Amino acid sequence: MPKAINRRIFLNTLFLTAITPPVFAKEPAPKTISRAAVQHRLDKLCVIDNNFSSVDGWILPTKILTKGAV
Amino acid sequence: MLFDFNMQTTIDKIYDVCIVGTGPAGITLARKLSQSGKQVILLEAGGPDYSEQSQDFYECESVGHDAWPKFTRLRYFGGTSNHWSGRCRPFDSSDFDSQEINGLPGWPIRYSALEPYLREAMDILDLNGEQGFQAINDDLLNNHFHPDAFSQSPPTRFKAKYQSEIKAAENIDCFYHATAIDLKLDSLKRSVHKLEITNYKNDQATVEADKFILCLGGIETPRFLLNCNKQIASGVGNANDMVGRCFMEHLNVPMGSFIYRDLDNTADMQFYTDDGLVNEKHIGKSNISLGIVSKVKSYGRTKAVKNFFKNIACQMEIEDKVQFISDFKCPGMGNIGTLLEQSPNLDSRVSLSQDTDDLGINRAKFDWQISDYDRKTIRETGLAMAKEFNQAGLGVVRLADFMLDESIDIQYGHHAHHMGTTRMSDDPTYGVVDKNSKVHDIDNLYVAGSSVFSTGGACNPTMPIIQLSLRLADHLSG
Repeated sequence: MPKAINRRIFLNTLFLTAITPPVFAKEPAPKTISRAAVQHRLDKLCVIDNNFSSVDGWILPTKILTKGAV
Repeated sequence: MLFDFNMQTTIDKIYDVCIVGTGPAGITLARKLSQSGKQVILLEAGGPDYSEQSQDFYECESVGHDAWPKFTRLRYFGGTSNHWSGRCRPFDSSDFDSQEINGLPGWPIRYSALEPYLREAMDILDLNGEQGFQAINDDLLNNHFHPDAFSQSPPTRFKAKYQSEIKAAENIDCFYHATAIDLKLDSLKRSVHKLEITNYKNDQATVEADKFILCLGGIETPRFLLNCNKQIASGVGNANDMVGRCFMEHLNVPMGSFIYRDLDNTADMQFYTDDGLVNEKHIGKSNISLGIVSKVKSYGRTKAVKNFFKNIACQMEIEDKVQFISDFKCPGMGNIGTLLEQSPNLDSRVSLSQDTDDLGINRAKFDWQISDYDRKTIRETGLAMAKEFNQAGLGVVRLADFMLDESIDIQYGHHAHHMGTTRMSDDPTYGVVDKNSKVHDIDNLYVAGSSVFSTGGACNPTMPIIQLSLRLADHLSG
């Protein structure tokens, strides 16, 4: 059964496709966090030795933290 | 024969050996020496059963880190064997490698001195001799940690197992309610002439014997020697101020938690550090127990944990990954328990309190301290284990904050193993007894039990206590 189109759906479709406001036409801005927030996050990273680091007590290979699975 | 010193207060025999204390060391020595034909008197300060009145004598003044000295020992026939857990593991030969720690020498004997008594000690502790010592897990870490092989005693309660034998033995006179209060030395102060004993009603008697053996444990043995201060002000055997020093426990440190990568893995594991790590880092030995507390699958955390392993392995900005990991609040599926070797150090000690017990005898002042060497043992062991756990693909470890931040005090507890307070050393400057467990400056006074341990390794002490007692019995029978 095709879905019945009522008045609200019709007007929404018209509004969002035919007469799209400029704000929706722009590329979405990339999600960014401030430099301070980045630093705050990285403060939780503690280098233990050449191979291992800890984050909040979790002991992990540094390569996994920086590059993903290796 | 069994006597109650409350009822029978006359002792007129002269014995070959007087043994003070009826714990595993005292009973082992009494049986072995009587079997070799010696006339033995065995003294127990408490009664045949537990009583509050007796246990109150173990109250201590505790000024250092607390290790519950009143409750970790038992003052009645059978001693602390009445509540021990039964885990047995002998020392390693490397425990006897002479090495100086905190300026103190190690054991003056080699493991070969104890090895001949292993099988007999296993029989005494009801261990399966055919099965031997076995690990509960495979060699999964395979670098610096190996499966810890041990054997489980039922556990043997020495009272239940040996009381009737001692009662029937014609050449053992065992007295309950007989508290040793003083040693009477000869005029040269070179040998023990008599031992004074009392009951709670202050009926006193003296015991004469050729040799005397103190088997009172790591707190009462130094307390007794220090209280024997009428003829030598500093106490018997204390010419070098070593009686009571170097109190050691096995450190019980809750290092952190872990998650197995394989969520179906719910195995408990036990590992032991290899000598390579101990020598490379200059740290003590350790037993590490990985114990499952809550199965991930049982608590609806499967998705979160799987997601954790997936995300830490994928590529993302490092700051996002760090944030993701620190947001992961899973408490882990298991805890890391430890039994770590504490090094001997002079500042950790039992001395005399000004407080006295109901008999007017000074109580023990108990000052348990760990050293920087021990802190290093704790942190290096935990870190090495966490790294190896990850490298072996087992999963991830989360260490407690004090393991990584030296500004935070380490949380540690005890294992009710009291060792080192009359330590064995060839040089009287660094110990109380010689390699035959004889008190250095007294010709006929010996000590048995864990107070003679020069170092404690990372094994439960009962097995070595029995081996050392059998060795001492052989020495005195020869």
